[in-house]
Amino acid sequence: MVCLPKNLLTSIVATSIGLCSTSALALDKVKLRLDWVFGAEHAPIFLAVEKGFFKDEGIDVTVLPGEGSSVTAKLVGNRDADFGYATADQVLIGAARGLPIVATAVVLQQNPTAFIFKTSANIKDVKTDLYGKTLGIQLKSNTGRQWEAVKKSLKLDPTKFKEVPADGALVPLIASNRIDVGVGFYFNDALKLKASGEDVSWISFEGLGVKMYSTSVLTNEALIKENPDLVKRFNKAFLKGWSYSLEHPKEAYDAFVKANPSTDKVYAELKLPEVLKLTQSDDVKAGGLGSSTKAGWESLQDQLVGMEMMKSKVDVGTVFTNDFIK
Amino acid sequence: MYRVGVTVGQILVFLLFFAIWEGIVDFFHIKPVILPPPSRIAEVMWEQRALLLTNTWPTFVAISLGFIYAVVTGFVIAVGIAYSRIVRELTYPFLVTAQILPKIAFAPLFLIWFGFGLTPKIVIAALIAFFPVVINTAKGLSSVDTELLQYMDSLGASGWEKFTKISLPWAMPYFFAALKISITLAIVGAVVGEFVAAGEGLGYIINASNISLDTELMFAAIVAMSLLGIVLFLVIVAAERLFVNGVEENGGVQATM
Repeated sequence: MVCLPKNLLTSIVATSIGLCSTSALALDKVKLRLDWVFGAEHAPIFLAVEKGFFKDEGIDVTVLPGEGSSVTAKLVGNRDADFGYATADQVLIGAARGLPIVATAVVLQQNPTAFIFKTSANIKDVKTDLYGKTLGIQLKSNTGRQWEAVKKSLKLDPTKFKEVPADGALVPLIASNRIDVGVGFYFNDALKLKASGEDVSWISFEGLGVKMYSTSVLTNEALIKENPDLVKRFNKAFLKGWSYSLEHPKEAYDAFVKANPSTDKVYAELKLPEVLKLTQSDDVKAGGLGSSTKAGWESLQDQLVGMEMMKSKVDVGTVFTNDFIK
Repeated sequence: MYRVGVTVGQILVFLLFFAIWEGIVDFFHIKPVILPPPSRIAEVMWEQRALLLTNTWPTFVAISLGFIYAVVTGFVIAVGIAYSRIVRELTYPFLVTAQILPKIAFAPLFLIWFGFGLTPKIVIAALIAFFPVVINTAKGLSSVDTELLQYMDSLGASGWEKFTKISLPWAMPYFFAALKISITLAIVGAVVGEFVAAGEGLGYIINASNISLDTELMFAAIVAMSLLGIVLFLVIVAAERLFVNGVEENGGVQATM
């Protein structure tokens, strides 16, 4: 009780001049677990906190760094965190594995996975130009499974290139020419290389037909049942951070750098606009920021089953909702 | 009769542990993706036995080679330390510092320094397993009873004879105590190597099963890993029984990690 009156007089004064607003009394404390360590891809979240968008909705949010989307899905599944920010594939796989989680907004609508290489590698057409090259594949990430799918769909001959495990090390491996091409998120690895002064190019998997929803807001089914209003207010504040950032990217950048002063600023500056681009899609044009469609989730599920990341299908209608967007 | 009773008791401790685990999972309705019950892990181990077995081999190779490198180089350096005061005084602070250094933290860089596949795994395993061998063997060799050596001198024994007949047998309990620590560290090293730099092996399975949220498979691989570790540990215990006299009475020498 922050506003317990010491005596009648001060309480009258406080109420009359509005020092003690009801929203300040009733701030809902929530924990938001991100997908990964803080990066410029989270700048709009830092902006929403700094601008007080969450406070305006009566929410006191604690933003925590993540250990990968699969961990975030589990933490929201067992209610260690109230909300999570994790890739859509992990939400879907988690739900199929019995975790009571629901995606309430698909923030990054496009698949950020790409072939990343120094421009001097001169790769234009992946059907022919990968031959003779050494590829670094992140076997412990879903980008590795996506690569398997691309290899199949483009009917690439695996005897004509060399694949090596390169988990979490694409940037130094490409920089030191130990691999020619890496498969990873272009807004991470490619832009990190660019920030370190390399002339780097990438070919997006989205353009090769691997369309997948990416990072999304998720919460627990139980929280939706107990307090749908909180979920709605949270999403409103969260998405306001993103729409504001789309209009004022410089402010989002500043909010991020202010909260993370030791960050690589060149990298952050390159990364944020690319991340903001990924929020756009036909679904978003039709339904607004963060909205998704059943067709989109079903296509994601078909691909995950094809990549053997999911064993059985679920009714995707139970895994996502647009109810908390508007 | 007492031995049999103890063995039965030891097995019961394991059974009790698994029973409590099973009971907790069941009572709180914990989802297998968060914590699978032991019964389910056993089932998955059986279902995935082919996958687990094929991936045990590369891990075994990495552990064994890393361990052998660690033991051979560790032993040679230990002899140098035990017999040369200058080597001992010059290298000891460096060795202790290097032992304390959290070498696992460098694991992601080993991929860049040593390439892909087996090499980084062996290097990490050997680096971590190396220090107990050096420090304990050196301790064993330098703690030899000097009166015994003087007695050998009086018999006109050569340096080599003193080393093989007195010092080496004297140091054996220390050496084997070190090996028992080293093998467990080599396992940790090999798994860390597989976390960062491999496309096969049990460490890889543990890590890769994470992205499909296959916690059961992850546990199955961890159990397989533990079984491999227990077997390797028992091999060393058996070798110790063979080479060291009287180990059963005093339970071996306390080693320094």
